[in-house]
Amino acid sequence: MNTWRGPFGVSLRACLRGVTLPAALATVAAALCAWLDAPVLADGEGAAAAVTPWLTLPLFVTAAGCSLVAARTWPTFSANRDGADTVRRIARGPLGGRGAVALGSVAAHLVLSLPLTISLAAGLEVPPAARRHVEAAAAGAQILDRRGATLTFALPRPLEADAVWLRPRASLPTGPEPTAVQVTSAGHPLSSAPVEFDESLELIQLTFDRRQVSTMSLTQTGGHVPLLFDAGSVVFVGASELPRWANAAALALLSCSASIVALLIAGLLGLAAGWPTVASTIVTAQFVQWIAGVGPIDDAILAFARGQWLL
Amino acid sequence: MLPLRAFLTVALFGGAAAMLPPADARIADFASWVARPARLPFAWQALAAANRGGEGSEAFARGQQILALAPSWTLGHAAFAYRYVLTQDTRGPAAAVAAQAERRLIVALTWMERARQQAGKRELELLHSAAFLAPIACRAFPGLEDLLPPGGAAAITDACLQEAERLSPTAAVQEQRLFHTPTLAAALLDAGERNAATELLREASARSLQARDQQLAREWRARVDEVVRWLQGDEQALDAVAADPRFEPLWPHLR
Repeated sequence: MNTWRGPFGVSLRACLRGVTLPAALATVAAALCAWLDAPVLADGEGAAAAVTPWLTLPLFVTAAGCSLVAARTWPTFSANRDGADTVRRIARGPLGGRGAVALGSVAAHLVLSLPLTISLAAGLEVPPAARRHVEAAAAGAQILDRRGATLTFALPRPLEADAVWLRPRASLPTGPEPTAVQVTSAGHPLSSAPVEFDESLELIQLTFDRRQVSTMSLTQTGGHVPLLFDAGSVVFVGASELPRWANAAALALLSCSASIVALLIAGLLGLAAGWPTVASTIVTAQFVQWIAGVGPIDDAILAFARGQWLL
Repeated sequence: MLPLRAFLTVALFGGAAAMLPPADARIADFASWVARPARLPFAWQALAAANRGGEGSEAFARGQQILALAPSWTLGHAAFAYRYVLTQDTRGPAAAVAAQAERRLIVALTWMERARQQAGKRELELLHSAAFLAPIACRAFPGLEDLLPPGGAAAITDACLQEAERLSPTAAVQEQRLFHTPTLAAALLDAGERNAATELLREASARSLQARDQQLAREWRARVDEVVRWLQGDEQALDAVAADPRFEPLWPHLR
Protein backbone atom coordinates (compact mmCIF):
# COMPACT_ATOMS: atom_id res chain seq x y z
CA MET A 1 0.00 0.00 0.00
CA ASN A 2 1.32 3.46 -0.89
CA THR A 3 2.59 5.06 2.33
CA TRP A 4 0.97 8.40 1.59
CA ARG A 5 -2.41 6.80 0.85
CA GLY A 6 -2.14 4.22 3.64
CA PRO A 7 -2.85 4.61 7.38
CA PHE A 8 0.32 6.65 7.94
CA GLY A 9 -0.56 9.19 5.27
CA VAL A 10 -4.25 9.30 6.15
CA SER A 11 -3.43 9.93 9.80
CA LEU A 12 -0.74 12.52 9.01
CA ARG A 13 -3.02 14.49 6.69
CA ALA A 14 -6.00 14.29 9.01
CA CYS A 15 -3.90 15.52 11.94
CA LEU A 16 -2.43 18.42 9.97
CA ARG A 17 -5.87 19.35 8.70
CA GLY A 18 -7.58 19.07 12.07
CA VAL A 19 -4.95 20.40 14.46
CA THR A 20 -3.26 23.27 12.62
CA LEU A 21 -6.01 25.76 13.46
CA PRO A 22 -6.37 24.80 17.17
CA ALA A 23 -2.57 24.86 17.52
CA ALA A 24 -2.43 28.30 15.92
CA LEU A 25 -5.21 29.57 18.20
CA ALA A 26 -3.48 28.08 21.24
CA THR A 27 -0.26 29.81 20.19
CA VAL A 28 -2.01 33.16 19.93
CA ALA A 29 -3.71 32.58 23.31
CA ALA A 30 -0.38 31.58 24.86
CA ALA A 31 1.37 34.65 23.45
CA LEU A 32 -1.43 36.84 24.82
CA CYS A 33 -1.34 35.18 28.23
CA ALA A 34 2.46 35.41 28.36
CA TRP A 35 2.17 39.12 27.66
CA LEU A 36 -0.50 39.60 30.35
CA ASP A 37 1.23 37.31 32.86
CA ALA A 38 4.78 38.59 32.30
CA PRO A 39 6.50 39.47 35.58
CA VAL A 40 6.44 43.26 35.69
CA LEU A 41 9.93 43.49 37.11
CA ALA A 42 11.64 40.52 35.50
CA ASP A 43 15.33 40.89 36.09
CA GLY A 44 18.05 38.58 34.83
CA GLU A 45 18.07 35.72 32.37
CA GLY A 46 16.62 33.32 34.94
CA ALA A 47 13.33 35.21 34.84
CA ALA A 48 12.73 33.94 31.28
CA ALA A 49 12.06 30.49 32.73
CA ALA A 50 8.76 31.82 34.09
CA VAL A 51 7.26 31.50 30.59
CA THR A 52 6.98 27.70 30.83
CA PRO A 53 3.14 27.60 31.22
CA TRP A 54 2.72 29.49 27.96
CA LEU A 55 5.31 27.38 26.20
CA THR A 56 3.51 24.26 27.36
CA LEU A 57 -0.03 25.26 26.33
CA PRO A 58 0.28 25.22 22.51
CA LEU A 59 2.53 22.15 22.57
CA PHE A 60 0.00 20.33 24.75
CA VAL A 61 -2.86 21.30 22.43
CA THR A 62 -0.84 20.07 19.43
CA ALA A 63 0.08 16.77 21.09
CA ALA A 64 -3.40 16.04 22.44
CA GLY A 65 -5.05 17.21 19.19
CA CYS A 66 -2.90 14.99 16.96
CA SER A 67 -3.44 11.94 19.15
CA LEU A 68 -7.21 12.49 19.27
CA VAL A 69 -7.57 13.14 15.55
CA ALA A 70 -5.52 10.08 14.65
CA ALA A 71 -7.43 7.81 17.02
CA ARG A 72 -10.73 9.18 15.76
CA THR A 73 -9.77 8.89 12.09
CA TRP A 74 -8.81 5.23 12.11
CA PRO A 75 -11.80 2.94 12.80
CA THR A 76 -9.82 0.11 14.43
CA PHE A 77 -8.29 2.38 17.07
CA SER A 78 -11.28 1.82 19.36
CA ALA A 79 -13.87 -0.94 19.62
CA ASN A 80 -17.30 -0.99 17.95
CA ARG A 81 -16.60 1.63 15.31
CA ASP A 82 -18.31 1.78 11.92
CA GLY A 83 -16.03 0.72 9.08
CA ALA A 84 -13.69 -1.29 11.31
CA ASP A 85 -14.35 -4.55 9.44
CA THR A 86 -13.61 -2.95 6.08
CA VAL A 87 -10.37 -1.49 7.41
CA ARG A 88 -9.30 -4.85 8.84
CA ARG A 89 -9.69 -6.38 5.39
CA ILE A 90 -7.40 -3.73 3.89
CA ALA A 91 -4.83 -3.43 6.70
CA ARG A 92 -4.08 -7.05 7.41
CA GLY A 93 -1.10 -6.71 9.77
CA PRO A 94 -1.29 -7.73 13.44
CA LEU A 95 -1.89 -4.11 14.49
CA GLY A 96 -4.57 -3.45 11.90
CA GLY A 97 -2.83 -0.25 10.79
CA ARG A 98 -2.77 1.22 14.28
CA GLY A 99 1.03 1.39 14.41
CA ALA A 100 1.16 3.32 11.15
CA VAL A 101 -1.66 5.60 12.32
CA ALA A 102 0.21 6.33 15.53
CA LEU A 103 3.38 7.06 13.55
CA GLY A 104 1.44 9.39 11.26
CA SER A 105 0.09 11.22 14.28
CA VAL A 106 3.54 11.55 15.82
CA ALA A 107 4.92 12.79 12.49
CA ALA A 108 2.16 15.42 12.29
CA HIS A 109 2.89 16.40 15.88
CA LEU A 110 6.54 16.89 14.98
CA VAL A 111 5.72 18.85 11.81
CA LEU A 112 3.47 21.21 13.77
CA SER A 113 5.47 21.52 16.97
CA LEU A 114 8.85 22.14 15.33
CA PRO A 115 8.10 25.62 13.89
CA LEU A 116 5.84 26.34 16.83
CA THR A 117 8.58 25.67 19.41
CA ILE A 118 11.19 27.63 17.49
CA SER A 119 8.94 30.66 17.03
CA LEU A 120 7.53 30.57 20.57
CA ALA A 121 11.03 30.36 22.02
CA ALA A 122 12.00 33.51 20.15
CA GLY A 123 8.74 35.28 20.97
CA LEU A 124 8.78 34.40 24.66
CA GLU A 125 12.42 35.44 25.04
CA VAL A 126 13.89 32.09 25.98
CA PRO A 127 17.68 32.67 26.35
CA PRO A 128 19.14 32.90 22.83
CA ALA A 129 21.96 30.48 23.57
CA ALA A 130 21.79 27.17 25.40
CA ARG A 131 24.56 25.71 27.53
CA ARG A 132 25.20 22.19 28.69
CA HIS A 133 24.39 21.61 32.37
CA VAL A 134 25.99 18.41 33.60
CA GLU A 135 25.45 17.02 37.08
CA ALA A 136 28.50 15.74 38.91
CA ALA A 137 28.01 12.73 41.18
CA ALA A 138 29.84 12.17 44.45
CA ALA A 139 31.83 9.01 44.88
CA GLY A 140 31.07 7.59 48.33
CA ALA A 141 30.02 9.90 51.16
CA GLN A 142 28.08 13.07 50.33
CA ILE A 143 28.33 14.92 53.62
CA LEU A 144 30.75 17.62 54.72
CA ASP A 145 30.50 17.74 58.50
CA ARG A 146 33.97 18.46 59.85
CA ARG A 147 37.00 20.59 59.08
CA GLY A 148 39.26 18.88 56.55
CA ALA A 149 36.53 16.56 55.18
CA THR A 150 36.72 16.19 51.39
CA LEU A 151 34.18 15.06 48.82
CA THR A 152 35.15 14.09 45.28
CA PHE A 153 32.74 14.46 42.39
CA ALA A 154 33.05 13.05 38.88
CA LEU A 155 31.33 14.08 35.68
CA PRO A 156 29.94 11.36 33.41
CA ARG A 157 32.21 12.69 30.67
CA PRO A 158 34.82 15.49 30.56
CA LEU A 159 33.29 18.91 29.92
CA GLU A 160 34.69 22.23 28.74
CA ALA A 161 33.14 24.33 31.53
CA ASP A 162 33.37 27.87 32.87
CA ALA A 163 30.96 27.75 35.83
CA VAL A 164 29.75 25.44 38.54
CA TRP A 165 26.53 25.69 40.55
CA LEU A 166 26.60 24.38 44.11
CA ARG A 167 23.35 23.91 45.99
CA PRO A 168 23.79 21.64 49.04
CA ARG A 169 21.25 20.90 51.72
CA ALA A 170 22.23 22.25 55.11
CA SER A 171 21.61 20.41 58.35
CA LEU A 172 21.20 21.97 61.80
CA PRO A 173 24.30 24.03 62.62
CA THR A 174 26.55 22.89 65.44
CA GLY A 175 28.01 26.37 65.97
CA PRO A 176 27.76 29.99 64.85
CA GLU A 177 29.99 30.00 61.74
CA PRO A 178 28.81 29.25 58.18
CA THR A 179 30.64 26.37 56.56
CA ALA A 180 33.51 27.42 54.29
CA VAL A 181 34.33 25.11 51.40
CA GLN A 182 37.35 25.18 49.10
CA VAL A 183 36.42 24.13 45.55
CA THR A 184 39.16 22.60 43.38
CA SER A 185 39.39 20.72 40.11
CA ALA A 186 42.51 18.72 39.26
CA GLY A 187 44.33 20.55 42.04
CA HIS A 188 43.41 24.05 40.79
CA PRO A 189 41.12 26.17 42.97
CA LEU A 190 37.96 27.26 41.14
CA SER A 191 37.44 30.28 43.40
CA SER A 192 39.89 32.72 44.92
CA ALA A 193 38.46 32.21 48.41
CA PRO A 194 36.47 29.41 50.05
CA VAL A 195 32.72 29.73 49.50
CA GLU A 196 30.43 29.88 52.52
CA PHE A 197 27.12 28.14 53.08
CA ASP A 198 24.71 28.72 55.94
CA GLU A 199 21.29 27.91 54.45
CA SER A 200 19.74 24.86 52.88
CA LEU A 201 19.48 24.93 49.06
CA GLU A 202 21.39 28.20 48.90
CA LEU A 203 22.70 28.49 45.33
CA ILE A 204 26.30 29.50 44.81
CA GLN A 205 27.34 30.14 41.22
CA LEU A 206 31.09 30.06 40.75
CA THR A 207 32.54 31.26 37.47
CA PHE A 208 36.08 30.51 36.39
CA ASP A 209 38.23 30.55 33.29
CA ARG A 210 37.19 28.00 30.68
CA ARG A 211 38.79 24.65 31.43
CA GLN A 212 38.34 20.94 30.82
CA VAL A 213 36.71 19.43 33.91
CA SER A 214 36.22 15.79 34.74
CA THR A 215 36.45 15.72 38.54
CA MET A 216 36.01 18.21 41.36
CA SER A 217 36.79 18.22 45.07
CA LEU A 218 35.12 20.07 47.91
CA THR A 219 37.10 20.47 51.12
CA GLN A 220 35.63 21.95 54.27
CA THR A 221 38.01 24.57 55.64
CA GLY A 222 35.88 25.68 58.59
CA GLY A 223 32.39 26.37 59.89
CA HIS A 224 29.65 24.56 61.74
CA VAL A 225 26.88 23.80 59.21
CA PRO A 226 26.87 20.16 58.01
CA LEU A 227 26.27 20.07 54.25
CA LEU A 228 24.72 17.28 52.20
CA PHE A 229 25.64 17.21 48.51
CA ASP A 230 23.03 14.82 47.10
CA ALA A 231 22.06 14.30 43.45
CA GLY A 232 21.78 17.56 41.52
CA SER A 233 23.62 19.68 44.08
CA VAL A 234 26.75 20.07 41.92
CA VAL A 235 26.15 21.09 38.30
CA PHE A 236 28.83 22.19 35.84
CA VAL A 237 27.87 24.67 33.12
CA GLY A 238 29.44 24.16 29.70
CA ALA A 239 31.41 27.03 28.22
CA SER A 240 30.13 26.63 24.65
CA GLU A 241 26.96 28.36 23.58
CA LEU A 242 24.62 26.29 21.45
CA PRO A 243 21.86 27.73 19.23
CA ARG A 244 18.35 28.10 20.62
CA TRP A 245 16.72 26.80 17.44
CA ALA A 246 18.58 23.49 17.76
CA ASN A 247 17.51 23.21 21.38
CA ALA A 248 13.92 23.98 20.33
CA ALA A 249 14.12 21.23 17.69
CA ALA A 250 15.37 18.84 20.37
CA LEU A 251 12.41 19.80 22.56
CA ALA A 252 9.95 19.22 19.69
CA LEU A 253 11.52 15.81 19.09
CA LEU A 254 11.41 14.94 22.77
CA SER A 255 7.78 16.05 23.02
CA CYS A 256 6.86 13.30 20.56
CA SER A 257 7.54 10.80 23.35
CA ALA A 258 4.44 12.06 25.16
CA SER A 259 2.29 11.29 22.09
CA ILE A 260 3.87 7.87 21.65
CA VAL A 261 3.06 6.97 25.26
CA ALA A 262 -0.51 8.30 25.00
CA LEU A 263 -1.21 6.47 21.72
CA LEU A 264 0.34 3.25 23.01
CA ILE A 265 -1.93 3.25 26.06
CA ALA A 266 -4.95 4.30 23.98
CA GLY A 267 -4.20 1.66 21.33
CA LEU A 268 -4.09 -1.11 23.92
CA LEU A 269 -7.23 0.14 25.61
CA GLY A 270 -8.98 0.48 22.25
CA LEU A 271 -8.84 -3.30 21.75
CA ALA A 272 -11.74 -3.54 24.18
CA ALA A 273 -12.99 -0.01 24.87
CA GLY A 274 -15.09 2.35 22.79
CA TRP A 275 -14.22 5.80 21.48
CA PRO A 276 -15.26 7.87 24.55
CA THR A 277 -12.98 5.82 26.82
CA VAL A 278 -10.10 5.95 24.35
CA ALA A 279 -10.51 9.72 23.89
CA SER A 280 -10.58 10.31 27.67
CA THR A 281 -7.50 8.14 28.06
CA ILE A 282 -5.60 10.10 25.43
CA VAL A 283 -6.43 13.45 27.01
CA THR A 284 -5.57 12.17 30.49
CA ALA A 285 -2.31 10.58 29.37
CA GLN A 286 -1.27 13.78 27.63
CA PHE A 287 -2.37 15.93 30.57
CA VAL A 288 -0.40 14.02 33.19
CA GLN A 289 2.71 14.17 31.04
CA TRP A 290 2.50 17.81 29.96
CA ILE A 291 0.85 19.50 32.88
CA ALA A 292 1.19 17.21 35.91
CA GLY A 293 4.89 16.56 35.34
CA VAL A 294 4.92 12.79 34.86
CA GLY A 295 7.70 11.76 32.49
CA PRO A 296 10.49 13.80 30.98
CA ILE A 297 8.62 16.51 29.07
CA ASP A 298 7.85 18.88 31.93
CA ASP A 299 11.49 18.92 33.06
CA ALA A 300 12.61 19.31 29.43
CA ILE A 301 10.44 22.42 28.95
CA LEU A 302 11.78 23.93 32.15
CA ALA A 303 15.38 23.19 31.15
CA PHE A 304 14.73 24.65 27.69
CA ALA A 305 13.26 27.83 29.14
CA ARG A 306 16.28 28.13 31.45
CA GLY A 307 18.63 27.93 28.47
CA GLN A 308 19.94 24.47 29.31
CA TRP A 309 20.95 22.20 26.45
CA LEU A 310 18.62 19.19 26.24
CA LEU A 311 20.76 16.58 24.49
CA MET B 1 -47.22 56.71 34.44
CA LEU B 2 -45.33 54.25 32.24
CA PRO B 3 -42.80 56.78 30.85
CA LEU B 4 -41.97 57.86 34.41
CA ARG B 5 -41.45 54.26 35.51
CA ALA B 6 -39.32 53.58 32.43
CA PHE B 7 -37.36 56.75 33.04
CA LEU B 8 -36.72 55.79 36.68
CA THR B 9 -35.70 52.27 35.67
CA VAL B 10 -33.22 53.56 33.11
CA ALA B 11 -31.89 56.19 35.53
CA LEU B 12 -31.42 53.67 38.34
CA PHE B 13 -29.71 51.15 36.06
CA GLY B 14 -27.54 53.95 34.68
CA GLY B 15 -26.61 55.00 38.20
CA ALA B 16 -25.78 51.43 39.18
CA ALA B 17 -23.61 51.02 36.10
CA ALA B 18 -21.83 54.30 36.80
CA MET B 19 -21.05 53.18 40.36
CA LEU B 20 -19.37 49.96 39.19
CA PRO B 21 -15.56 49.92 39.14
CA PRO B 22 -13.97 50.76 35.77
CA ALA B 23 -14.48 48.09 33.10
CA ASP B 24 -10.80 47.18 32.64
CA ALA B 25 -10.34 46.65 36.39
CA ARG B 26 -13.50 44.53 36.48
CA ILE B 27 -12.35 42.42 33.56
CA ALA B 28 -8.90 41.97 35.08
CA ASP B 29 -10.44 41.01 38.45
CA PHE B 30 -12.79 38.57 36.78
CA ALA B 31 -10.00 37.02 34.69
CA SER B 32 -7.82 36.70 37.78
CA TRP B 33 -10.71 35.08 39.71
CA VAL B 34 -11.33 32.59 36.91
CA ALA B 35 -7.67 31.77 36.35
CA ARG B 36 -6.71 31.48 40.03
CA PRO B 37 -7.88 27.90 40.77
CA ALA B 38 -6.39 26.61 37.53
CA ARG B 39 -3.12 28.52 37.69
CA LEU B 40 -2.19 28.68 41.37
CA PRO B 41 -1.40 24.98 42.05
CA PHE B 42 0.89 24.84 39.03
CA ALA B 43 2.38 28.22 39.82
CA TRP B 44 3.32 27.01 43.31
CA GLN B 45 4.82 23.85 41.83
CA ALA B 46 6.84 25.98 39.42
CA LEU B 47 8.02 28.15 42.31
CA ALA B 48 9.14 25.06 44.21
CA ALA B 49 11.04 23.91 41.12
CA ALA B 50 12.66 27.33 40.83
CA ASN B 51 13.72 27.19 44.48
CA ARG B 52 15.13 23.70 43.97
CA GLY B 53 16.96 24.15 40.71
CA GLY B 54 16.65 27.70 39.37
CA GLU B 55 18.21 31.06 40.03
CA GLY B 56 16.94 33.78 42.37
CA SER B 57 15.58 35.81 39.47
CA GLU B 58 13.49 32.86 38.29
CA ALA B 59 12.00 32.36 41.76
CA PHE B 60 11.21 36.07 41.93
CA ALA B 61 9.54 36.00 38.50
CA ARG B 62 7.45 32.98 39.58
CA GLY B 63 6.58 34.81 42.79
CA GLN B 64 5.36 37.78 40.78
CA GLN B 65 3.11 35.48 38.74
CA ILE B 66 1.63 34.03 41.94
CA LEU B 67 1.05 37.45 43.44
CA ALA B 68 -0.52 38.72 40.22
CA LEU B 69 -3.26 36.22 41.08
CA ALA B 70 -3.38 37.27 44.75
CA PRO B 71 -2.47 40.98 44.59
CA SER B 72 -3.68 41.88 48.08
CA TRP B 73 -1.44 39.34 49.84
CA THR B 74 1.00 41.89 51.26
CA LEU B 75 3.03 39.47 53.37
CA GLY B 76 3.60 37.41 50.24
CA HIS B 77 4.98 40.49 48.50
CA ALA B 78 7.28 41.15 51.42
CA ALA B 79 8.45 37.53 51.65
CA PHE B 80 9.28 37.26 47.93
CA ALA B 81 10.97 40.66 47.92
CA TYR B 82 13.18 39.81 50.92
CA ARG B 83 14.09 36.45 49.48
CA TYR B 84 15.00 38.00 46.14
CA VAL B 85 17.10 40.82 47.56
CA LEU B 86 18.97 38.55 49.96
CA THR B 87 19.76 35.96 47.26
CA GLN B 88 23.42 34.97 47.50
CA ASP B 89 23.56 33.48 43.97
CA THR B 90 26.78 34.98 42.79
CA ARG B 91 30.32 35.03 44.04
CA GLY B 92 33.01 37.33 42.74
CA PRO B 93 34.54 40.71 43.50
CA ALA B 94 32.68 42.39 46.38
CA ALA B 95 31.97 45.45 44.22
CA ALA B 96 30.19 43.36 41.57
CA VAL B 97 28.17 41.46 44.18
CA ALA B 98 27.18 44.76 45.84
CA ALA B 99 26.18 46.25 42.47
CA GLN B 100 23.93 43.26 41.77
CA ALA B 101 22.44 43.52 45.26
CA GLU B 102 21.71 47.22 44.67
CA ARG B 103 19.91 46.36 41.43
CA ARG B 104 17.83 43.72 43.22
CA LEU B 105 17.05 46.10 46.08
CA ILE B 106 15.77 48.77 43.68
CA VAL B 107 13.65 46.21 41.81
CA ALA B 108 12.19 44.81 45.04
CA LEU B 109 11.41 48.23 46.52
CA THR B 110 9.73 49.29 43.27
CA TRP B 111 7.70 46.10 43.30
CA MET B 112 6.59 46.66 46.90
CA GLU B 113 5.72 50.26 46.10
CA ARG B 114 3.59 49.05 43.19
CA ALA B 115 1.88 46.50 45.44
CA ARG B 116 0.64 49.32 47.69
CA GLN B 117 -2.12 50.06 45.17
CA GLN B 118 -3.74 46.70 45.95
CA ALA B 119 -2.79 46.43 49.61
CA GLY B 120 -5.88 48.14 51.01
CA LYS B 121 -5.87 48.09 54.82
CA ARG B 122 -2.56 46.24 54.83
CA GLU B 123 -0.62 49.05 53.19
CA LEU B 124 1.02 49.86 56.50
CA GLU B 125 2.29 46.28 56.81
CA LEU B 126 3.87 46.61 53.38
CA LEU B 127 5.54 49.91 54.23
CA HIS B 128 7.01 48.48 57.42
CA SER B 129 8.35 45.51 55.48
CA ALA B 130 9.89 47.82 52.88
CA ALA B 131 11.33 50.04 55.62
CA PHE B 132 13.68 47.40 56.97
CA LEU B 133 14.65 45.71 53.69
CA ALA B 134 17.45 48.13 52.82
CA PRO B 135 19.31 47.97 56.20
CA ILE B 136 19.11 44.17 56.22
CA ALA B 137 20.45 44.03 52.65
CA CYS B 138 23.28 46.40 53.59
CA ARG B 139 24.30 44.09 56.41
CA ALA B 140 24.24 41.09 54.05
CA PHE B 141 26.22 42.72 51.23
CA PRO B 142 29.30 44.74 52.23
CA GLY B 143 29.70 47.77 49.97
CA LEU B 144 25.99 48.09 49.17
CA GLU B 145 25.52 51.03 51.56
CA ASP B 146 28.06 53.06 49.55
CA LEU B 147 26.07 52.56 46.34
CA LEU B 148 22.82 53.91 47.79
CA PRO B 149 21.84 57.61 47.55
CA PRO B 150 22.99 59.99 50.35
CA GLY B 151 21.57 58.86 53.65
CA GLY B 152 21.81 55.23 52.52
CA ALA B 153 19.60 52.52 53.94
CA ALA B 154 18.61 54.69 56.91
CA ALA B 155 17.12 57.31 54.58
CA ILE B 156 15.12 54.63 52.75
CA THR B 157 13.84 53.32 56.08
CA ASP B 158 12.94 56.84 57.20
CA ALA B 159 11.10 57.56 53.93
CA CYS B 160 9.00 54.42 54.36
CA LEU B 161 8.29 55.17 58.04
CA GLN B 162 7.41 58.76 57.14
CA GLU B 163 4.89 57.50 54.60
CA ALA B 164 3.54 55.04 57.18
CA GLU B 165 3.20 57.91 59.64
CA ARG B 166 1.34 59.98 57.05
CA LEU B 167 -1.10 57.16 56.37
CA SER B 168 -1.58 56.23 59.98
CA PRO B 169 -0.50 58.96 62.42
CA THR B 170 -0.75 56.72 65.47
CA ALA B 171 1.59 57.00 68.43
CA ALA B 172 3.14 53.59 67.68
CA VAL B 173 4.09 54.51 64.12
CA GLN B 174 5.34 57.96 65.14
CA GLU B 175 7.52 56.51 67.89
CA GLN B 176 8.92 53.86 65.60
CA ARG B 177 10.14 56.61 63.28
CA LEU B 178 11.28 58.75 66.19
CA PHE B 179 13.52 56.06 67.69
CA HIS B 180 14.98 55.34 64.26
CA THR B 181 16.40 58.90 64.17
CA PRO B 182 19.92 58.09 65.52
CA THR B 183 20.41 55.57 62.69
CA LEU B 184 19.36 58.14 60.10
CA ALA B 185 21.54 60.81 61.71
CA ALA B 186 24.53 58.42 61.58
CA ALA B 187 23.88 57.87 57.86
CA LEU B 188 23.80 61.64 57.29
CA LEU B 189 27.07 61.99 59.20
CA ASP B 190 28.53 59.24 57.00
CA ALA B 191 27.58 61.35 53.99
CA GLY B 192 29.22 64.44 55.54
CA GLU B 193 25.89 66.16 56.27
CA ARG B 194 26.74 67.31 59.81
CA ASN B 195 24.29 70.22 59.89
CA ALA B 196 21.42 68.13 58.57
CA ALA B 197 22.17 65.43 61.17
CA THR B 198 22.22 68.01 63.97
CA GLU B 199 18.95 69.52 62.80
CA LEU B 200 17.34 66.09 62.54
CA LEU B 201 18.37 65.15 66.09
CA ARG B 202 17.16 68.48 67.42
CA GLU B 203 13.78 67.95 65.80
CA ALA B 204 13.64 64.40 67.17
CA SER B 205 14.34 65.72 70.63
CA ALA B 206 11.41 68.12 70.32
CA ARG B 207 9.11 65.40 68.95
CA SER B 208 9.95 63.08 71.82
CA LEU B 209 7.90 65.37 74.09
CA GLN B 210 4.81 63.74 72.53
CA ALA B 211 5.89 60.14 73.21
CA ARG B 212 3.56 58.04 75.35
CA ASP B 213 6.18 56.73 77.79
CA GLN B 214 7.57 60.04 79.08
CA GLN B 215 10.09 58.45 81.42
CA LEU B 216 11.64 56.57 78.49
CA ALA B 217 11.38 59.64 76.27
CA ARG B 218 13.03 61.91 78.87
CA GLU B 219 16.05 59.62 79.18
CA TRP B 220 16.32 59.22 75.39
CA ARG B 221 15.94 63.01 74.89
CA ALA B 222 18.79 63.66 77.30
CA ARG B 223 21.08 61.42 75.24
CA VAL B 224 19.98 63.09 71.98
CA ASP B 225 20.63 66.54 73.45
CA GLU B 226 24.11 65.42 74.53
CA VAL B 227 24.84 64.28 70.97
CA VAL B 228 23.51 67.57 69.55
CA ARG B 229 25.76 69.57 71.87
CA TRP B 230 28.72 67.39 70.91
CA LEU B 231 28.04 67.91 67.22
CA GLN B 232 27.85 71.67 67.83
CA GLY B 233 31.37 71.66 69.26
CA ASP B 234 30.81 71.09 72.95
CA GLU B 235 32.97 67.95 73.12
CA GLN B 236 32.29 66.81 76.68
CA ALA B 237 32.42 63.10 77.61
CA LEU B 238 29.52 61.07 76.24
CA ASP B 239 29.61 58.12 78.62
CA ALA B 240 25.83 57.66 78.76
CA VAL B 241 25.51 57.74 74.96
CA ALA B 242 28.44 55.37 74.56
CA ALA B 243 26.76 52.89 76.91
CA ASP B 244 23.35 53.07 75.22
CA PRO B 245 22.99 50.52 72.34
CA ARG B 246 20.16 52.59 70.79
CA PHE B 247 22.86 55.09 69.80
CA GLU B 248 25.33 52.53 68.49
CA PRO B 249 25.17 53.80 64.84
CA LEU B 250 26.37 57.19 66.12
CA TRP B 251 29.31 55.91 68.15
CA PRO B 252 31.91 56.07 65.30
CA HIS B 253 31.06 59.77 64.80
CA LEU B 254 31.40 60.76 68.44
CA ARG B 255 35.08 59.95 68.97
